[in-house]
Amino acid sequence: MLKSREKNIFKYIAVVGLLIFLHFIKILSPIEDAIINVFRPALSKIYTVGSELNISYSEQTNKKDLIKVIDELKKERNKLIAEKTKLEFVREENEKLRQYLKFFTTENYNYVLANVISQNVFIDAQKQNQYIIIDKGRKDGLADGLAVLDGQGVLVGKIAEVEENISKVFLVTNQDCKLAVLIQNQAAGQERTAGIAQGDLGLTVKLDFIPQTQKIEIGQLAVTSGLEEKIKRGLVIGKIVQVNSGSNEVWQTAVIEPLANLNELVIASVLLP
Amino acid sequence: MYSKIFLNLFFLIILFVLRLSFVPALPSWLSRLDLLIIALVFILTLVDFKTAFWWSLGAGFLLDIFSFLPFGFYLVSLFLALLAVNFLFNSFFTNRSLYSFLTLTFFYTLFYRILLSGAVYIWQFFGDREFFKIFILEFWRDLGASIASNLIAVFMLFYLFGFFSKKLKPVFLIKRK
Repeated sequence: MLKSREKNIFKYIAVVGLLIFLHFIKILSPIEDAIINVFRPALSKIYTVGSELNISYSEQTNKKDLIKVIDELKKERNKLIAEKTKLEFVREENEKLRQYLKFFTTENYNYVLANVISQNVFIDAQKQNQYIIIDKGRKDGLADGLAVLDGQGVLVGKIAEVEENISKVFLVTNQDCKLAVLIQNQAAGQERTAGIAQGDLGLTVKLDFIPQTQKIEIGQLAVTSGLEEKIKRGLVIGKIVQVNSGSNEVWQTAVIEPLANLNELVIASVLLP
Repeated sequence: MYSKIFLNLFFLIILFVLRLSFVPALPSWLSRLDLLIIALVFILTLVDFKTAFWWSLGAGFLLDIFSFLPFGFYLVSLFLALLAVNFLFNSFFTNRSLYSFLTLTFFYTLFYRILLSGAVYIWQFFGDREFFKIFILEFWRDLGASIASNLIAVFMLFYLFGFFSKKLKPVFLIKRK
């Protein structure tokens, strides 16, 4: 009885081993590709359903804070209207200068639209390691390090790993996601503050090693600096919500809150170089 | 025979799709629910080890295709955890009571997550990234959430099965005078 049970277990182990072996000698590749291609549309649709449920749940739980949020948004809107008016003048001036210099417009990005098919599902998906999986891969021209944006053009993360038909995207809050950023604090009459931003606890983005001489303030925007080969300059990441500058410290640190709602992301665009 | 295979495959795919795309997008602790583990515990206890093995093979294979870890991590972890839980089922939790279901689900989730995390650690050990989640509080918090949500789901499913099926009804032997 015991011997037959042991024999059976060896049979099961052999089946598992054979399956792994067949994968590594690539015999299963066509089947695996076919499965991924068949599943992709269904996965993205089902992910959207789950995400919508999540959004409506969040809306229900957040209703209490809505009045406060509306007040804050009204103030912010008024500020933005004023800023927009100023920027309109700058844009017009910029356009004229570009015409004179015969520059190409830099806003014509090449991009690939992708559906999110899963998030944080695997073992390395604890909060510090937030990521999503999108339904586009190497076949669609994607590569490691490319920037991923949401519908409003805000940076949500960068591609960490690429397979033939799918890609893994580290969200900006992921501790493994490092980005070269600039703080838009030029108004203070100094050079823009540059640094490396890194995800922190899966919730925010942290900017370290800022010299004490640099003046940064809450509410200033953090954008990509363009120092990374595959990520263009000027993509908005978030705004500063906290500045830690102890008088005894050599460096100051800043906490950036991402502008994109990372939990509600269902469609993303990947910027091609 | 073929209809049984087809039916199993159909339910496996449904559960896999829900596990991969629907559940992670849900709010709060619901996103840590592991439908495949719950299904494997129910199949192991209500059907047989052989069917549970094919389910673990199919689920592991599908998870491995969509994961960015080396192929086989999910397959082997699900299979080894199934072997361990099968041993517990045959040796200690032989009845089909609610407590057996809850205990087996607890151990399946625990074994599976520790095996997988251990495998990932060994793999990452040769790389340069810090990855040993077992010593991180977040790992245990996440595992706790996963176990709790699985146990709650099994608790509800147990009574649901009991309502529709006779397999979970207790049998009493009455001694005649």
